Amino acid sequence: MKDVTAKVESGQALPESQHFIERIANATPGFLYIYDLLEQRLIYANGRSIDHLGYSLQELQKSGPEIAASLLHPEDRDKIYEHQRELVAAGDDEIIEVEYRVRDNQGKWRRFHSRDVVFHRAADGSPVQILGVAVDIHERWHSQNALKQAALELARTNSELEQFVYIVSHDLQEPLRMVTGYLGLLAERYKDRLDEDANDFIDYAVDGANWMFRLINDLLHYSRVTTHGKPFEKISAEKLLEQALAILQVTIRENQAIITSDSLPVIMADKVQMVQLFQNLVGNAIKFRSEKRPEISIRVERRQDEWLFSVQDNGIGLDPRQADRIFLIFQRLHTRDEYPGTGIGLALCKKIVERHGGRIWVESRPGQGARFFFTIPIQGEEK
Amino acid sequence: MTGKRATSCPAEILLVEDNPGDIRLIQEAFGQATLACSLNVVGNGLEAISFLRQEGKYSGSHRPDLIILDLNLPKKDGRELLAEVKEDDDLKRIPVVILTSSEEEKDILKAYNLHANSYMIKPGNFNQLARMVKSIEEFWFTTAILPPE
Repeated sequence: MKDVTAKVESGQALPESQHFIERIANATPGFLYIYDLLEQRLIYANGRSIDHLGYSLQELQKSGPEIAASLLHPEDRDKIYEHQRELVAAGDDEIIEVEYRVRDNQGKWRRFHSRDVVFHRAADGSPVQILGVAVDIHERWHSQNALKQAALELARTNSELEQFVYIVSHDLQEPLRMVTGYLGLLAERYKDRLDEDANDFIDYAVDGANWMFRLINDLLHYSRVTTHGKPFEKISAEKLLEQALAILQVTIRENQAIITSDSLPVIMADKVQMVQLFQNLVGNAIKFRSEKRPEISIRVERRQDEWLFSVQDNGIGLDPRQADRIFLIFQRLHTRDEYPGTGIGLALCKKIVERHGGRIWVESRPGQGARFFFTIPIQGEEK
Repeated sequence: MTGKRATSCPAEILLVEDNPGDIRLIQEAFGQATLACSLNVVGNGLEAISFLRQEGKYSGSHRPDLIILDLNLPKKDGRELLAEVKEDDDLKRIPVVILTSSEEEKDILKAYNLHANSYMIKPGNFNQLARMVKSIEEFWFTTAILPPE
Protein backbone atom coordinates (compact mmCIF):
# COMPACT_ATOMS: atom_id res chain seq x y z
CA MET A 1 0.00 0.00 0.00
CA LYS A 2 2.84 2.30 0.86
CA ASP A 3 4.29 1.62 -2.55
CA VAL A 4 1.09 2.56 -4.25
CA THR A 5 0.69 5.83 -2.40
CA ALA A 6 4.29 6.71 -3.16
CA LYS A 7 3.56 6.16 -6.81
CA VAL A 8 0.39 8.20 -6.65
CA GLU A 9 2.46 10.99 -5.15
CA SER A 10 4.97 10.86 -7.95
CA GLY A 11 2.28 10.43 -10.59
CA GLN A 12 3.55 7.02 -11.73
CA ALA A 13 0.78 4.77 -10.47
CA LEU A 14 -0.27 1.81 -12.53
CA PRO A 15 -3.65 2.41 -14.22
CA GLU A 16 -5.30 -0.28 -12.09
CA SER A 17 -3.91 1.16 -8.89
CA GLN A 18 -5.04 4.61 -9.89
CA HIS A 19 -8.47 3.22 -10.60
CA PHE A 20 -8.50 1.27 -7.36
CA ILE A 21 -7.67 4.34 -5.28
CA GLU A 22 -10.19 6.54 -7.02
CA ARG A 23 -12.92 3.98 -6.45
CA ILE A 24 -12.06 3.76 -2.76
CA ALA A 25 -11.90 7.53 -2.38
CA ASN A 26 -15.34 7.95 -3.94
CA ALA A 27 -17.01 4.99 -2.26
CA THR A 28 -15.87 5.70 1.28
CA PRO A 29 -18.60 7.03 3.53
CA GLY A 30 -16.17 9.52 5.04
CA PHE A 31 -14.27 12.49 3.74
CA LEU A 32 -10.81 11.80 2.49
CA TYR A 33 -8.31 14.62 2.33
CA ILE A 34 -4.66 15.49 2.13
CA TYR A 35 -3.54 18.57 3.96
CA ASP A 36 -0.23 20.34 3.50
CA LEU A 37 1.27 21.42 6.78
CA LEU A 38 3.84 23.81 5.25
CA GLU A 39 1.38 25.60 2.98
CA GLN A 40 -1.43 25.16 5.54
CA ARG A 41 -3.93 24.29 2.85
CA LEU A 42 -5.97 21.40 1.56
CA ILE A 43 -4.44 19.84 -1.52
CA TYR A 44 -6.85 16.98 -2.00
CA ALA A 45 -10.43 16.24 -0.99
CA ASN A 46 -12.69 13.45 -2.26
CA GLY A 47 -15.97 14.29 -3.98
CA ARG A 48 -18.04 13.55 -0.90
CA SER A 49 -16.39 16.22 1.24
CA ILE A 50 -16.92 18.78 -1.47
CA ASP A 51 -20.62 17.97 -1.83
CA HIS A 52 -21.15 17.80 1.88
CA LEU A 53 -19.81 21.20 2.83
CA GLY A 54 -20.98 22.89 -0.37
CA TYR A 55 -17.63 24.41 -1.30
CA SER A 56 -15.86 23.73 -4.59
CA LEU A 57 -12.45 22.05 -4.52
CA GLN A 58 -10.98 25.29 -5.80
CA GLU A 59 -12.54 27.21 -2.97
CA LEU A 60 -11.16 24.74 -0.46
CA GLN A 61 -7.77 24.59 -2.06
CA LYS A 62 -7.19 28.29 -2.42
CA SER A 63 -7.79 28.84 1.25
CA GLY A 64 -4.60 30.01 2.86
CA PRO A 65 -4.04 29.70 6.61
CA GLU A 66 -6.48 32.57 7.36
CA ILE A 67 -9.32 31.13 5.32
CA ALA A 68 -8.68 27.63 6.66
CA ALA A 69 -8.85 29.10 10.12
CA SER A 70 -12.05 30.93 9.29
CA LEU A 71 -13.74 27.63 8.38
CA LEU A 72 -12.94 26.28 11.81
CA HIS A 73 -15.05 27.07 14.84
CA PRO A 74 -13.12 29.65 16.93
CA GLU A 75 -13.34 27.46 20.03
CA ASP A 76 -11.76 24.53 18.17
CA ARG A 77 -8.78 26.35 16.61
CA ASP A 78 -6.38 25.76 19.49
CA LYS A 79 -7.40 22.12 19.51
CA ILE A 80 -6.54 21.81 15.81
CA TYR A 81 -3.13 23.48 16.28
CA GLU A 82 -2.43 21.08 19.12
CA HIS A 83 -3.58 18.22 16.91
CA GLN A 84 -1.15 19.28 14.17
CA ARG A 85 1.69 19.47 16.69
CA GLU A 86 0.86 15.92 17.75
CA LEU A 87 0.90 14.79 14.12
CA VAL A 88 4.29 16.37 13.56
CA ALA A 89 5.64 14.28 16.42
CA ALA A 90 3.77 11.12 15.37
CA GLY A 91 5.27 7.94 14.00
CA ASP A 92 4.24 6.52 10.61
CA ASP A 93 1.70 4.06 11.97
CA GLU A 94 0.15 6.37 14.50
CA ILE A 95 -3.42 7.51 13.97
CA ILE A 96 -4.25 10.80 15.67
CA GLU A 97 -7.88 11.63 16.27
CA VAL A 98 -9.62 14.94 16.79
CA GLU A 99 -13.13 16.40 16.95
CA TYR A 100 -13.93 19.87 15.62
CA ARG A 101 -16.57 22.01 13.94
CA VAL A 102 -16.42 23.34 10.37
CA ARG A 103 -18.65 25.97 8.79
CA ASP A 104 -20.47 24.78 5.66
CA ASN A 105 -21.29 27.19 2.84
CA GLN A 106 -24.71 27.81 4.43
CA GLY A 107 -22.98 29.16 7.51
CA LYS A 108 -23.97 26.15 9.63
CA TRP A 109 -21.51 24.44 11.96
CA ARG A 110 -20.96 20.75 11.25
CA ARG A 111 -19.20 18.56 13.78
CA PHE A 112 -16.48 16.22 12.45
CA HIS A 113 -14.39 13.43 13.82
CA SER A 114 -11.04 13.01 12.01
CA ARG A 115 -8.46 10.24 11.99
CA ASP A 116 -5.19 11.55 10.57
CA VAL A 117 -1.85 9.99 9.67
CA VAL A 118 1.39 11.40 8.33
CA PHE A 119 1.26 11.03 4.55
CA HIS A 120 4.44 12.52 3.24
CA ARG A 121 7.68 13.49 4.89
CA ALA A 122 10.47 15.84 3.78
CA ALA A 123 14.00 14.51 3.24
CA ASP A 124 14.84 15.24 6.89
CA GLY A 125 11.88 13.10 7.99
CA SER A 126 9.66 15.95 9.16
CA PRO A 127 6.02 15.50 8.07
CA VAL A 128 4.84 17.83 5.35
CA GLN A 129 1.51 16.30 4.40
CA ILE A 130 -1.16 14.50 6.34
CA LEU A 131 -3.86 12.17 5.08
CA GLY A 132 -7.09 11.98 6.95
CA VAL A 133 -10.56 10.48 7.02
CA ALA A 134 -13.29 12.55 8.61
CA VAL A 135 -16.84 11.58 9.48
CA ASP A 136 -19.67 14.04 10.05
CA ILE A 137 -20.85 13.20 13.56
CA HIS A 138 -23.25 16.10 13.79
CA GLU A 139 -26.42 13.97 14.13
CA ARG A 140 -24.80 11.42 16.38
CA TRP A 141 -23.39 14.13 18.61
CA HIS A 142 -26.75 15.84 18.88
CA SER A 143 -28.66 12.69 19.66
CA GLN A 144 -26.04 11.72 22.24
CA ASN A 145 -26.33 15.15 23.74
CA ALA A 146 -30.10 14.93 23.78
CA LEU A 147 -29.81 11.55 25.48
CA LYS A 148 -27.47 12.99 28.09
CA GLN A 149 -29.85 15.88 28.70
CA ALA A 150 -32.78 13.51 28.99
CA ALA A 151 -30.89 11.38 31.50
CA LEU A 152 -30.05 14.45 33.56
CA GLU A 153 -33.63 15.61 33.42
CA LEU A 154 -34.82 12.17 34.48
CA ALA A 155 -32.43 12.11 37.42
CA ARG A 156 -33.63 15.57 38.41
CA THR A 157 -37.34 14.77 38.27
CA ASN A 158 -36.63 11.52 40.06
CA SER A 159 -34.93 13.24 42.92
CA GLU A 160 -37.67 15.90 42.96
CA LEU A 161 -40.23 13.12 43.20
CA GLU A 162 -38.34 11.53 46.05
CA GLN A 163 -38.22 14.85 47.84
CA PHE A 164 -41.91 15.24 47.16
CA VAL A 165 -42.75 11.84 48.62
CA TYR A 166 -40.61 12.61 51.62
CA ILE A 167 -42.23 15.99 52.28
CA VAL A 168 -45.76 14.76 51.67
CA SER A 169 -45.40 11.74 53.91
CA HIS A 170 -43.71 13.82 56.57
CA ASP A 171 -46.36 16.53 56.52
CA LEU A 172 -49.24 14.05 56.39
CA GLN A 173 -48.00 12.49 59.60
CA GLU A 174 -48.82 15.53 61.72
CA PRO A 175 -52.56 15.83 60.99
CA LEU A 176 -52.92 12.06 60.93
CA ARG A 177 -51.39 11.89 64.39
CA MET A 178 -54.23 14.13 65.54
CA VAL A 179 -56.77 11.73 64.01
CA THR A 180 -55.22 8.60 65.51
CA GLY A 181 -54.55 10.34 68.81
CA TYR A 182 -58.06 11.63 69.34
CA LEU A 183 -59.73 8.51 67.97
CA GLY A 184 -57.74 6.58 70.53
CA LEU A 185 -58.82 8.93 73.26
CA LEU A 186 -62.43 8.72 72.09
CA ALA A 187 -62.30 4.93 72.07
CA GLU A 188 -60.73 4.77 75.47
CA ARG A 189 -63.02 7.20 77.20
CA TYR A 190 -66.38 6.67 75.50
CA LYS A 191 -66.32 3.16 74.22
CA ASP A 192 -68.55 1.62 76.81
CA ARG A 193 -70.86 4.59 77.09
CA LEU A 194 -72.13 4.26 73.52
CA ASP A 195 -74.04 1.44 71.87
CA GLU A 196 -72.53 -1.51 70.06
CA ASP A 197 -72.74 0.11 66.63
CA ALA A 198 -70.79 3.12 67.84
CA ASN A 199 -68.14 0.80 69.26
CA ASP A 200 -67.84 -0.96 65.91
CA PHE A 201 -67.57 2.34 64.07
CA ILE A 202 -64.86 3.57 66.39
CA ASP A 203 -62.97 0.28 66.03
CA TYR A 204 -63.02 0.51 62.25
CA ALA A 205 -61.98 4.14 62.32
CA VAL A 206 -59.13 3.43 64.76
CA ASP A 207 -58.02 0.46 62.72
CA GLY A 208 -58.03 2.45 59.46
CA ALA A 209 -56.27 5.43 60.94
CA ASN A 210 -53.58 3.27 62.54
CA TRP A 211 -53.04 1.42 59.28
CA MET A 212 -52.72 4.70 57.41
CA PHE A 213 -50.25 5.91 59.99
CA ARG A 214 -48.12 2.83 59.37
CA LEU A 215 -48.33 3.24 55.60
CA ILE A 216 -47.25 6.86 55.74
CA ASN A 217 -44.51 6.04 58.19
CA ASP A 218 -43.25 3.27 55.89
CA LEU A 219 -43.42 5.58 52.89
CA LEU A 220 -41.31 8.06 54.81
CA HIS A 221 -38.69 5.39 55.53
CA TYR A 222 -38.78 4.31 51.92
CA SER A 223 -38.12 7.81 50.62
CA ARG A 224 -35.36 8.30 53.20
CA VAL A 225 -33.23 5.60 51.53
CA THR A 226 -32.25 8.07 48.84
CA THR A 227 -32.97 11.43 50.43
CA HIS A 228 -31.19 10.65 53.72
CA GLY A 229 -28.66 7.98 52.69
CA LYS A 230 -25.16 8.11 54.22
CA PRO A 231 -21.95 8.08 52.17
CA PHE A 232 -20.56 4.59 51.56
CA GLU A 233 -17.73 3.37 53.75
CA LYS A 234 -15.55 0.29 53.92
CA ILE A 235 -17.30 -2.07 56.25
CA SER A 236 -17.33 -5.75 57.11
CA ALA A 237 -20.55 -7.36 55.90
CA GLU A 238 -20.00 -9.94 58.62
CA LYS A 239 -20.38 -7.24 61.29
CA LEU A 240 -23.47 -5.87 59.57
CA LEU A 241 -25.09 -9.29 59.54
CA GLU A 242 -24.24 -9.72 63.23
CA GLN A 243 -25.95 -6.43 64.00
CA ALA A 244 -29.01 -7.43 62.01
CA LEU A 245 -29.18 -10.78 63.83
CA ALA A 246 -28.85 -9.01 67.17
CA ILE A 247 -31.90 -6.88 66.34
CA LEU A 248 -33.78 -10.05 65.36
CA GLN A 249 -32.65 -12.13 68.34
CA VAL A 250 -36.08 -12.39 69.98
CA THR A 251 -37.71 -13.54 66.72
CA ILE A 252 -34.85 -15.96 66.07
CA ARG A 253 -35.17 -17.44 69.54
CA GLU A 254 -38.96 -17.68 69.45
CA ASN A 255 -38.87 -19.52 66.14
CA GLN A 256 -35.78 -21.55 67.08
CA ALA A 257 -34.33 -20.55 63.73
CA ILE A 258 -30.97 -21.99 62.73
CA ILE A 259 -28.87 -19.43 60.91
CA THR A 260 -25.62 -20.23 59.17
CA SER A 261 -23.41 -17.92 57.18
CA ASP A 262 -20.34 -17.94 54.98
CA SER A 263 -17.65 -15.62 56.19
CA LEU A 264 -18.63 -12.34 54.59
CA PRO A 265 -16.34 -9.84 52.86
CA VAL A 266 -15.56 -6.18 53.45
CA ILE A 267 -17.74 -4.05 51.20
CA MET A 268 -18.33 -0.38 50.39
CA ALA A 269 -21.76 0.44 51.73
CA ASP A 270 -24.05 2.55 53.86
CA LYS A 271 -23.88 0.51 57.04
CA VAL A 272 -27.27 1.52 58.46
CA GLN A 273 -28.96 0.51 55.22
CA MET A 274 -27.03 -2.75 54.90
CA VAL A 275 -28.07 -3.76 58.42
CA GLN A 276 -31.63 -2.98 57.42
CA LEU A 277 -31.24 -5.09 54.28
CA PHE A 278 -29.99 -8.17 56.18
CA GLN A 279 -32.58 -7.58 58.88
CA ASN A 280 -35.42 -7.50 56.36
CA LEU A 281 -34.23 -10.54 54.40
CA VAL A 282 -33.54 -12.71 57.43
CA GLY A 283 -36.68 -11.37 59.14
CA ASN A 284 -38.78 -12.32 56.11
CA ALA A 285 -37.19 -15.76 55.95
CA ILE A 286 -38.41 -16.37 59.51
CA LYS A 287 -41.77 -14.66 59.05
CA PHE A 288 -42.65 -16.80 56.05
CA ARG A 289 -41.52 -20.04 57.69
CA SER A 290 -43.22 -23.37 57.12
CA GLU A 291 -43.99 -25.97 59.76
CA LYS A 292 -40.38 -27.03 59.59
CA ARG A 293 -37.87 -25.46 61.92
CA PRO A 294 -36.54 -22.39 60.03
CA GLU A 295 -33.11 -22.94 58.54
CA ILE A 296 -31.56 -19.90 56.95
CA SER A 297 -28.21 -19.72 55.27
CA ILE A 298 -26.39 -16.63 54.09
CA ARG A 299 -23.93 -17.22 51.31
CA VAL A 300 -21.59 -15.06 49.33
CA GLU A 301 -19.73 -15.64 46.11
CA ARG A 302 -17.27 -13.38 44.37
CA ARG A 303 -18.12 -12.52 40.79
CA GLN A 304 -15.93 -10.43 38.52
CA ASP A 305 -17.09 -6.95 39.55
CA GLU A 306 -19.50 -7.75 42.31
CA TRP A 307 -20.29 -9.79 45.38
CA LEU A 308 -23.27 -12.07 45.00
CA PHE A 309 -25.00 -12.50 48.35
CA SER A 310 -27.91 -14.82 48.97
CA VAL A 311 -30.26 -15.57 51.82
CA GLN A 312 -31.87 -18.99 51.55
CA ASP A 313 -34.68 -20.34 53.69
CA ASN A 314 -36.83 -23.48 53.97
CA GLY A 315 -40.08 -21.52 54.38
CA ILE A 316 -43.36 -21.48 52.47
CA GLY A 317 -41.79 -20.11 49.29
CA LEU A 318 -43.74 -18.27 46.66
CA ASP A 319 -45.09 -18.56 43.15
CA PRO A 320 -42.29 -17.58 40.73
CA ARG A 321 -44.87 -15.57 38.78
CA GLN A 322 -45.07 -13.24 41.78
CA ALA A 323 -41.30 -12.90 41.99
CA ASP A 324 -41.23 -9.35 40.60
CA ARG A 325 -44.34 -8.12 42.35
CA ILE A 326 -43.04 -8.72 45.86
CA PHE A 327 -40.41 -6.01 45.39
CA LEU A 328 -43.03 -3.33 44.69
CA ILE A 329 -44.05 -1.01 47.48
CA PHE A 330 -47.10 -2.09 49.52
CA GLN A 331 -47.60 -5.24 47.44
CA ARG A 332 -48.48 -8.21 49.59
CA LEU A 333 -49.14 -11.83 48.66
CA HIS A 334 -51.09 -12.59 51.83
CA THR A 335 -53.87 -10.97 53.79
CA ARG A 336 -53.12 -8.83 56.80
CA ASP A 337 -54.63 -11.52 59.02
CA GLU A 338 -52.29 -14.20 57.69
CA TYR A 339 -49.15 -12.11 57.84
CA PRO A 340 -49.02 -8.63 59.36
CA GLY A 341 -47.12 -5.79 57.74
CA THR A 342 -47.67 -3.14 55.10
CA GLY A 343 -45.55 -4.76 52.40
CA ILE A 344 -42.71 -2.27 52.59
CA GLY A 345 -39.88 -4.69 53.48
CA LEU A 346 -38.76 -6.00 50.12
CA ALA A 347 -39.41 -2.66 48.36
CA LEU A 348 -37.06 -1.13 50.90
CA CYS A 349 -34.50 -3.91 50.22
CA LYS A 350 -34.71 -3.21 46.49
CA LYS A 351 -34.23 0.51 46.97
CA ILE A 352 -31.26 -0.05 49.27
CA VAL A 353 -29.59 -2.53 46.90
CA GLU A 354 -30.19 -0.24 43.92
CA ARG A 355 -28.76 2.74 45.74
CA HIS A 356 -25.61 0.63 46.14
CA GLY A 357 -25.55 -0.09 42.40
CA GLY A 358 -26.66 -3.71 42.78
CA ARG A 359 -29.63 -5.91 41.82
CA ILE A 360 -31.99 -8.04 43.87
CA TRP A 361 -34.14 -10.99 42.87
CA VAL A 362 -35.65 -14.17 44.23
CA GLU A 363 -35.71 -17.80 43.19
CA SER A 364 -38.48 -19.81 44.74
CA ARG A 365 -41.28 -22.31 44.39
CA PRO A 366 -44.31 -22.70 46.61
CA GLY A 367 -43.44 -24.98 49.52
CA GLN A 368 -39.80 -25.16 48.47
CA GLY A 369 -38.36 -22.23 50.40
CA ALA A 370 -36.98 -19.11 48.82
CA ARG A 371 -33.54 -17.84 47.97
CA PHE A 372 -33.08 -14.10 47.75
CA PHE A 373 -30.05 -12.88 45.83
CA PHE A 374 -28.51 -9.45 45.80
CA THR A 375 -25.32 -8.02 44.38
CA ILE A 376 -23.04 -5.30 45.69
CA PRO A 377 -20.44 -3.90 43.27
CA ILE A 378 -16.81 -4.36 44.19
CA GLN A 379 -15.18 -0.92 44.36
CA GLY A 380 -11.92 -0.04 42.62
CA GLU A 381 -9.39 -0.71 45.36
CA GLU A 382 -10.97 -3.99 46.45
CA LYS A 383 -10.60 -5.59 43.00
CA MET B 1 -30.63 13.75 101.52
CA THR B 2 -30.22 17.03 99.72
CA GLY B 3 -31.77 16.00 96.44
CA LYS B 4 -35.43 16.47 95.82
CA ARG B 5 -37.72 13.58 95.13
CA ALA B 6 -40.98 15.09 94.06
CA THR B 7 -43.26 12.36 95.32
CA SER B 8 -45.76 14.84 96.61
CA CYS B 9 -47.08 16.60 93.56
CA PRO B 10 -47.65 19.22 92.41
CA ALA B 11 -44.34 18.87 90.70
CA GLU B 12 -44.30 21.61 88.11
CA ILE B 13 -43.93 20.76 84.45
CA LEU B 14 -43.59 23.34 81.71
CA LEU B 15 -44.87 22.12 78.35
CA VAL B 16 -43.61 24.16 75.41
CA GLU B 17 -45.85 23.20 72.48
CA ASP B 18 -47.68 25.20 69.86
CA ASN B 19 -50.15 22.69 68.42
CA PRO B 20 -53.45 22.93 70.37
CA GLY B 21 -54.29 19.34 69.38
CA ASP B 22 -51.04 18.05 70.87
CA ILE B 23 -51.42 20.22 73.97
CA ARG B 24 -54.84 18.81 74.77
CA LEU B 25 -53.75 15.26 74.03
CA ILE B 26 -50.74 15.60 76.33
CA GLN B 27 -52.91 17.19 79.00
CA GLU B 28 -55.32 14.27 78.75
CA ALA B 29 -52.46 11.83 78.97
CA PHE B 30 -51.16 13.60 82.08
CA GLY B 31 -54.69 13.56 83.45
CA GLN B 32 -54.61 9.77 83.28
CA ALA B 33 -51.20 9.49 84.82
CA THR B 34 -50.96 8.57 88.46
CA LEU B 35 -49.08 11.49 89.87
CA ALA B 36 -51.28 14.29 88.50
CA CYS B 37 -48.57 16.90 88.23
CA SER B 38 -49.35 20.47 87.40
CA LEU B 39 -48.79 21.21 83.78
CA ASN B 40 -48.16 24.75 82.54
CA VAL B 41 -48.31 25.36 78.82
CA VAL B 42 -46.67 28.00 76.66
CA GLY B 43 -46.89 28.15 72.88
CA ASN B 44 -43.42 29.30 71.80
CA GLY B 45 -39.81 29.76 72.86
CA LEU B 46 -40.09 33.45 73.74
CA GLU B 47 -42.94 32.82 76.13
CA ALA B 48 -41.06 29.88 77.57
CA ILE B 49 -38.10 32.12 78.42
CA SER B 50 -40.42 34.68 80.06
CA PHE B 51 -42.00 31.87 82.05
CA LEU B 52 -38.67 30.44 83.15
CA ARG B 53 -37.31 33.86 84.14
CA GLN B 54 -40.62 34.80 85.76
CA GLU B 55 -40.89 37.92 83.65
CA GLY B 56 -43.95 39.96 82.61
CA LYS B 57 -47.21 38.09 82.93
CA TYR B 58 -45.31 35.11 84.27
CA SER B 59 -43.92 36.98 87.27
CA GLY B 60 -45.94 34.77 89.57
CA SER B 61 -44.88 31.48 87.95
CA HIS B 62 -42.94 28.76 89.68
CA ARG B 63 -39.66 27.46 88.38
CA PRO B 64 -40.63 24.13 86.73
CA ASP B 65 -39.08 20.80 87.78
CA LEU B 66 -39.12 19.55 84.23
CA ILE B 67 -39.48 21.03 80.75
CA ILE B 68 -41.20 19.12 77.95
CA LEU B 69 -40.19 20.76 74.72
CA ASP B 70 -41.32 20.45 71.12
CA LEU B 71 -38.64 21.25 68.55
CA ASN B 72 -40.62 23.03 65.87
CA LEU B 73 -42.11 26.15 67.37
CA PRO B 74 -42.96 29.61 66.07
CA LYS B 75 -40.83 32.66 67.01
CA LYS B 76 -38.02 31.09 69.01
CA ASP B 77 -37.90 27.42 68.09
CA GLY B 78 -37.19 24.49 70.38
CA ARG B 79 -33.52 24.16 69.47
CA GLU B 80 -32.81 27.81 70.22
CA LEU B 81 -34.73 27.63 73.47
CA LEU B 82 -32.87 24.46 74.47
CA ALA B 83 -29.51 26.13 73.76
CA GLU B 84 -30.52 29.18 75.78
CA VAL B 85 -31.72 27.16 78.75
CA LYS B 86 -28.60 25.01 78.84
CA GLU B 87 -26.29 28.03 78.65
CA ASP B 88 -28.08 29.78 81.49
CA ASP B 89 -26.47 29.07 84.87
CA ASP B 90 -29.83 29.42 86.60
CA LEU B 91 -31.83 27.22 84.27
CA LYS B 92 -29.44 24.58 82.97
CA ARG B 93 -30.14 22.12 85.80
CA ILE B 94 -33.79 21.78 84.83
CA PRO B 95 -34.18 18.49 82.92
CA VAL B 96 -35.45 19.01 79.39
CA VAL B 97 -37.35 16.21 77.67
CA ILE B 98 -37.73 16.71 73.93
CA LEU B 99 -41.13 15.52 72.70
CA THR B 100 -41.38 15.99 68.96
CA SER B 101 -42.63 14.35 65.79
CA SER B 102 -39.19 14.52 64.18
CA GLU B 103 -37.39 11.22 63.73
CA GLU B 104 -34.54 12.95 61.92
CA GLU B 105 -31.15 11.75 63.05
CA LYS B 106 -29.80 15.29 62.81
CA ASP B 107 -32.50 16.60 65.15
CA ILE B 108 -31.80 13.85 67.69
CA LEU B 109 -28.05 14.50 67.56
CA LYS B 110 -28.50 18.24 67.76
CA ALA B 111 -30.80 17.96 70.79
CA TYR B 112 -28.33 15.81 72.71
CA ASN B 113 -25.42 18.01 71.66
CA LEU B 114 -27.34 20.89 73.18
CA HIS B 115 -27.59 18.81 76.41
CA ALA B 116 -31.21 17.70 76.16
CA ASN B 117 -31.85 15.16 78.92
CA SER B 118 -33.86 12.83 76.72
CA TYR B 119 -35.52 12.67 73.33
CA MET B 120 -38.92 11.17 72.64
CA ILE B 121 -40.92 10.88 69.46
CA LYS B 122 -44.64 11.67 69.64
CA PRO B 123 -46.39 8.34 69.18
CA GLY B 124 -49.19 7.72 66.72
CA ASN B 125 -51.82 6.60 69.16
CA PHE B 126 -53.19 7.75 72.46
CA ASN B 127 -52.36 4.65 74.48
CA GLN B 128 -48.70 4.92 73.57
CA LEU B 129 -48.73 8.61 74.48
CA ALA B 130 -50.34 7.83 77.82
CA ARG B 131 -47.66 5.21 78.51
CA MET B 132 -44.94 7.65 77.50
CA VAL B 133 -46.25 10.37 79.79
CA LYS B 134 -46.53 7.90 82.62
CA SER B 135 -42.94 6.81 82.14
CA ILE B 136 -41.80 10.45 82.10
CA GLU B 137 -43.53 11.01 85.40
CA GLU B 138 -42.30 7.80 86.94
CA PHE B 139 -38.73 8.32 85.91
CA TRP B 140 -38.29 12.01 86.66
CA PHE B 141 -40.48 12.24 89.74
CA THR B 142 -40.06 8.91 91.50
CA THR B 143 -36.95 7.19 90.20
CA ALA B 144 -34.61 10.11 89.60
CA ILE B 145 -33.40 12.57 92.18
CA LEU B 146 -33.86 16.12 90.95
CA PRO B 147 -31.36 18.87 91.71
CA PRO B 148 -32.02 20.69 95.00
CA GLU B 149 -33.61 24.14 94.73
